[in-house]
Amino acid sequence: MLVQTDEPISFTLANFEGPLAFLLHLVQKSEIAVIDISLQELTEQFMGRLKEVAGPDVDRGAEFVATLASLIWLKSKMLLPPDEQPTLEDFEQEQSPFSILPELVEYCRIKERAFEMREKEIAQCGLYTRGRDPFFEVTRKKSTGLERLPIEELAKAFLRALARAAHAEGSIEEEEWRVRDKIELLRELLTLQHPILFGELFSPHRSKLEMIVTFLAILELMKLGEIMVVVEVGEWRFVPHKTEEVEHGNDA
Amino acid sequence: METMHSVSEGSSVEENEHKKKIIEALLFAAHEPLTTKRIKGILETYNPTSSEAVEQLIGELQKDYTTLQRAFHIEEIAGGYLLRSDEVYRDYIDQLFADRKGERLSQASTEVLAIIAYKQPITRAQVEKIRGVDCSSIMQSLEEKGLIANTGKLDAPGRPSLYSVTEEFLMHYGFRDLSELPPLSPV
Repeated sequence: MLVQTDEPISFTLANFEGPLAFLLHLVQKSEIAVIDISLQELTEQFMGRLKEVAGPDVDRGAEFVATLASLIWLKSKMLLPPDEQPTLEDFEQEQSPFSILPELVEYCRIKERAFEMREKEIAQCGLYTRGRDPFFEVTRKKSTGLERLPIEELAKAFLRALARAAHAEGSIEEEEWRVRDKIELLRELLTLQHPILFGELFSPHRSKLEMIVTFLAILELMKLGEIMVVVEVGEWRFVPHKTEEVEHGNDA
Repeated sequence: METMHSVSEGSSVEENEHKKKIIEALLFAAHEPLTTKRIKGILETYNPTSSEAVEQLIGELQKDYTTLQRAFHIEEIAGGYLLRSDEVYRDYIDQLFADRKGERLSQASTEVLAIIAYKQPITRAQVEKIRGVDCSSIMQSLEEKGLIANTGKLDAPGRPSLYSVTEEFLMHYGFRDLSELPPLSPV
C-alpha cells in the first residue's frame, strides 16, 4: 500500500512553513547566489521527500517543475539592471504565477510585525496591571464528549444495561456501594488502563445498585471535567480528559 | 504650565484635590480600563466636571506619581485608564507569580494574531490562505485566551465566522487602541 498524503509538500528549508513562505524568502533575498543555493537545496529536499512519500505523484511532480520554471523566470528578471527590474505592481499585471507576489510581500510584512509584537510582548510582561491576573484566563469548558453523543443516548444505554442486570443470575449479596468509592476506583482505573469500555463497566453480572452508583460516579467525573465519553467503532468508552498544553514558547 | 485653578471652572483647589483622590481610588479598585466618560460620570456625583477636567486631573496625577517616584503609573491602555507597575520592579513582582509561568505566545500564534489584527474582520479560511497552512487549532487557542472573538458571519456560502482582535489583545500588547498598531507597509 503506497502512502498517499493530501497536504502540499512543504519544504523545511531554513525553518519555513509551507511553500508560500519559501517563495517569500526568495522574494526578500535579492542576492542571486542565495537563490542558487536555495534552488539546489530545494531540489535535493524535494527528491528526498518524494522518496519518502513513496510513489511518484504526477500532479505534484508537474507542480514542482512549474514552480521551478517560474523561479528561474524570476531569477532572470532579477539579472536585469536595477532600473529595468520589475516592481511589485508589474507582477500584479503579469499573467505569471508571480501575480501572487504582492500577497506574499504582505505576508512578509505581517511576519515582521509579528516579530515586533513578540518583542513588545516581552516588554509588556513586566508591567503588571492593578486588578487583573497576569495570565490568560482560558474560558473553554472541558468537553464531556456529550456534544457528539447526546446524554439521552448515554442514559438509554445505561437503562438497557440496568434491565439486563435484572435478568442475570447470580448470588444475591447485599453490598454497599458508595459513589465516592466508585469515583476513586474510576480515577485509579483511568491512570492504569484507559479507555474504560462501557460494556465492561456495566456488564450484566454487576448488581443494579452497583450500576447505578457507577453511573452516578461517571456523571460526577464528567462534571468535574476529568472524564469524557467517546465513541469508537460503534463502541463507547470513557477516557481521561485531555487538556491542551499552554504554550510556553513552543509552536502551537 | 496651567495652574490648578484653570482645571475646571468653579472648582476650588481643594475640590480638585479631592477629585484627584476620587480618581485615584477608582483606578485602584477597578478591574478593567476606565474610560474618561465613566470617570466623569462618577465625579459628577460630587460636582460638575467636564471631560477635559477629568483628563487634566489625570495628567496631574500622573505628574504627581513621577514626582513622588511611585512604583506604579496611570496609563492609557485598551481605551481607558489603569494602573500599571513600573518596569523597574519587574524582577520583584515576577517572584510573586513565580509558580505560574508567564504566558507568551509562540511565533506561529503571534503571526496568526497579527494577520487578524491587520485584516480584521477576517475568516479562518482567509487567514489560512495568507499563511499557507492550517490555522484552526491556533485560532481556537487564541479564542480561548480571549485574544480574538467571533464578531459576525460573512455573507457567503457556509456563512463562515468572522474574527477580530479583542480588548484583551490590546491589553496584552499594551496598545491604547488599534491605531497604535505599527503600519503594515514601511513608511
